[in-house]
Amino acid sequence: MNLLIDFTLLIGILAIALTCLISRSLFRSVVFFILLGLMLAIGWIRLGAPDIALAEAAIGAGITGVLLLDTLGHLKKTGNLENDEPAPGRKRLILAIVSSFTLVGLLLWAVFNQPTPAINIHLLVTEAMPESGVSHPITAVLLNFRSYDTLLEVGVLVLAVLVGLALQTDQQAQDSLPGLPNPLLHACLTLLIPAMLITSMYLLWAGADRPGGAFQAGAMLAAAFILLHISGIKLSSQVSHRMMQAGLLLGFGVFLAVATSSLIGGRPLLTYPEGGAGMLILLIELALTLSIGLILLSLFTIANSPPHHKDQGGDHGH
Amino acid sequence: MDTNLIFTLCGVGLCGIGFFGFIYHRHLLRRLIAFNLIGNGTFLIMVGFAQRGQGVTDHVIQALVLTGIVVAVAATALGLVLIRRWFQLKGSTQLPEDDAS
Amino acid sequence: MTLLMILQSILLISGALMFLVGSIGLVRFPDTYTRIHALTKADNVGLGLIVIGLIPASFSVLVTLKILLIWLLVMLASALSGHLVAWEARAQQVPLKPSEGESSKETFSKRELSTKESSDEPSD
Repeated sequence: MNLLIDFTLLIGILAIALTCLISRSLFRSVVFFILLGLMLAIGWIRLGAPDIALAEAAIGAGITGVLLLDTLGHLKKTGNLENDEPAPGRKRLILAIVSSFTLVGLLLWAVFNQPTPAINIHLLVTEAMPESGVSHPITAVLLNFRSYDTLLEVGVLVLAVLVGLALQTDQQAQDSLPGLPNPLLHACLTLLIPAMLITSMYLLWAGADRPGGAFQAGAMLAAAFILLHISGIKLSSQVSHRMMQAGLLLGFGVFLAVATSSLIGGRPLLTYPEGGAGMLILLIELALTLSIGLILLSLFTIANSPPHHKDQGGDHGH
Repeated sequence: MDTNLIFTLCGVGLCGIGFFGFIYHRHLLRRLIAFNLIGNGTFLIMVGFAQRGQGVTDHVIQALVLTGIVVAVAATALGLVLIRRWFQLKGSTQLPEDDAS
Repeated sequence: MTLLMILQSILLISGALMFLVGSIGLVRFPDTYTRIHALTKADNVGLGLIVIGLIPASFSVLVTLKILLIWLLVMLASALSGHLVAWEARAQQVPLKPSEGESSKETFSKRELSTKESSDEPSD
């Protein structure tokens, strides 16, 4: 019975992915991509990974979908949605088919010649759990055992925002999107936004012993911010520019401060003092949640800042 | 046949489909979607592969994939910013080397 | 197989059927407005049936409350998004498609203008 569900998911996911790529209409492609994210979330549940399912549903389907739809709307507005682009040539099709089949073949060969693992890493995790300061293994891995990865990952996020900001030009005012003047939307926002904020904090708190944590909470926070932004309430006009920038860097800063502070006590980088791990992890996670929320919001607002006027933009193709 | 193997194969399929789309399509937005498909396929392979080897749920690989998803969305957003900027400067949603073929 | 389990299965299956009906409506109905009707109606009832079917599975007050809260939030979100899609479709003057044999009295006033605006976005 369970295998039946798995096979249905397998066929569904592959069919949706194929439809997503061969569909003529770009809008249809994006919608199918969002659908794929939701199907994958169910798949992650089947794989016993509720944390990834939460992140996939919130980030993979939700925020990526909003970003893609927004770009699509932008391209449409400026009149360059090439729905009837000429189909790529035959040579390209053959090249694509041959290379993708080669990749699939190689991967299949790897899957069916799987070596037995040298160490049983889950046993190591289970052994070290009591010292980690939290009781949910994924949070323990993310913020204690392999906090190096997480620190660098937050660094990558900050870097992405910096590159995005650097690509932004001066003329691009942040608050130009008119927003939806729909009365029902604004009435519902007063109900939805507090609910989203509470859910975000709940996810953060739950991360200590259940699926949840800073990433999922940050994604939820970002969703609330983006909803506000689309509805026409600009966060960037409520707080100062410097506050926003500080917020973007807060998570990375706090994480780095905690990581290096252990050097002062003569311990190696990225270790926690005995007994204090739980508190420090919660502190880092709080800062990370706020920063991830703001970073995802910034990536969204950078992406949807308006184009130049035609006469200022330099050489236009047509 | 267990769940982990099925989803590993699903990941292999996603990678193949994504790779096909990445080479075949010229529209940059479609390429970005194809790139995301490859990413999702990789995540599925990673978790399915590790858990099949261990025989139990593997929290280390799950945590790594969790960070991977967040980085993927950052990369996608950055890609979209670049596509828009390119479109704004050149008025095209393709790369110049693809215009000929 | 107790009585409760049979009841649960009936609820879950009928919920899934409601989703199926809604999906068929989404694919088969002619225009945006009827599609919204099919989606929001069928989904709210379908999810409701599934939620009621799942409650006996836990026997915990906290879990029951959480599931009910999810149902409530989804209903709010689906009502709101349905309204927003219809609102935007109205703003873009997406025409109503009259079914065969029915007089086309229910069309929007500026229907002539709608041809260039009626993009596939909300209706696709």
